[in-house]
Amino acid sequence: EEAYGYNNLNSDDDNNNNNNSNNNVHLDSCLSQPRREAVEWMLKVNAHYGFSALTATLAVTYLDRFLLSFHFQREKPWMIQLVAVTCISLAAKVEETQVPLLLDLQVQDTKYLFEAKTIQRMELLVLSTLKWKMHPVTPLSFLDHIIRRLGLRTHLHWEFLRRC
Amino acid sequence: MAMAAPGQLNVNESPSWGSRSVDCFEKLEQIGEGTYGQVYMAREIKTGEIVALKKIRMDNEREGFPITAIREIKILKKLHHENVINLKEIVTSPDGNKYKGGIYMVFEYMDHDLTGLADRPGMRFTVPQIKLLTGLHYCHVNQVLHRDIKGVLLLMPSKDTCSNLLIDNEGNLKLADFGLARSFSNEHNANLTNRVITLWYRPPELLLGTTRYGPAVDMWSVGCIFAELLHGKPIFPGKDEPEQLNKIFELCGAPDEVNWPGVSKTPWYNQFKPTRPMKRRLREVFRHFDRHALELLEKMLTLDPAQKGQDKLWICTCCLCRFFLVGNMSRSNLQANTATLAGICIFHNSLKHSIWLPSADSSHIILYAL
Repeated sequence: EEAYGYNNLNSDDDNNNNNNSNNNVHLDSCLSQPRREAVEWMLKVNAHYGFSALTATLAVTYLDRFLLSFHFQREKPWMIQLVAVTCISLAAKVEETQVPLLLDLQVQDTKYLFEAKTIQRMELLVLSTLKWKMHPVTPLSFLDHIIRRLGLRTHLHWEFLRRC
Repeated sequence: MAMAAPGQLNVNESPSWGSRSVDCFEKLEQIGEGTYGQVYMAREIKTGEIVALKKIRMDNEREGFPITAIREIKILKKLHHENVINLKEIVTSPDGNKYKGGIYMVFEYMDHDLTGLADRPGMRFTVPQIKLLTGLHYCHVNQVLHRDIKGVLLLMPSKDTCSNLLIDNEGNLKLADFGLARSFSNEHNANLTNRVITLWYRPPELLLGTTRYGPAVDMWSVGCIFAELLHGKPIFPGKDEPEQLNKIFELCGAPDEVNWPGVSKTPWYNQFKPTRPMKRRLREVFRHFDRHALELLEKMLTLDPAQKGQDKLWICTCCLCRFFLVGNMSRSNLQANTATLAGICIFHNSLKHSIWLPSADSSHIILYAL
């Protein structure tokens, strides 16, 4: 059984490479500010709907992987907001039991409001850019394993896991 | 239609960057209807390879890209096993109205599903590799619940109720249709939705509203299919959820704190609990089954999910594989062959932690210790 687990960890090599180069997103000065705003907004939505930590992690990972594949256009400031809505929508669909409609996801002071069909188009663009790989290895993938190995199984630990 | 070049973001253009066009394939015929779209047999023009194209329907604009498709793609990207259907790639259709639904999943082509196979007397399965549930075991080890295993053997041969166990002409069996599948984590016990699995194959814990469940849900479905194969028709054909539970109780007995500790705390127990005492009648109703088959069934159709220990079930499911092995799948021979089958799947205590697989020429069974 262990072997299967390790195979999985190794299978998403592309994602790992992307994670390593995430630094570029932070270094690129014209991107860092809009990216930070987008991430903060996604975390607010995540909290608003009570989505899990994994959902938030996935959304940020999708955003970064997508931004790496496309040059961000400064003259279209709405673009990163559209990408952010799309990423949180995809992450919720991957991970959550209850997923709000596309319009309802746009809460917490959004500057722009996008029609559902626009977001749907963007979903396709993001998915194909991510090569349809929606289950990258994240730090959370290891937490579960580590906690189990250390035998930390009390309610408190799971509560911590849930929140981190 | 122009494609968005890498490095240039223009959502008015085709969002197919990164995926091939469906024009790489020539559609041959429609072969079925999945959970959320049609399935076509098609030929890849470049290689001549026959594939199955599953169209993803995108009717509900308000929800965007369908959640079932997202789940299925995510999970199939993670699973690679000879008994799990292989998702080769995703292609898009090049027409202008793309977001209206031109996304296809490309699968390896399988010749049959389990539906109606028992109807064909001439159909022989002499090839050994029908390992029904090694595929399912693989999913569970990888923490994926399938949640929609169904047989629908004899009664409903229509195209839109097809079984999702696929079989090719070499006798290889693959688990398909992961539209309702999801990942689970052994210890998290996260809340999951209980509205999964085709009603007839849905286990009692889901019908009673449990949202914390595990691999035992798929095992119940397997038990239902096993009984269906022997019985010749679905064993719990309920019209709605109350009737479904009632049919289960009539056969398996009413649940109580003795045979299923904790059942009275399930969300809908008070609403659905039986009004009169009901005995377990499994052995009586299926008394014409072979003794060993019956014993197997008893274990698979245990009410309490906690008592369906995984290792025991793996023995059960392996026996089910043996069952498919027994050659001719025609209806009359199914029952005649049950004895042979059951002779193979003996429940010796000493063999409980092992898996039996057929040898390459199917002349004997190889025992693998777990």
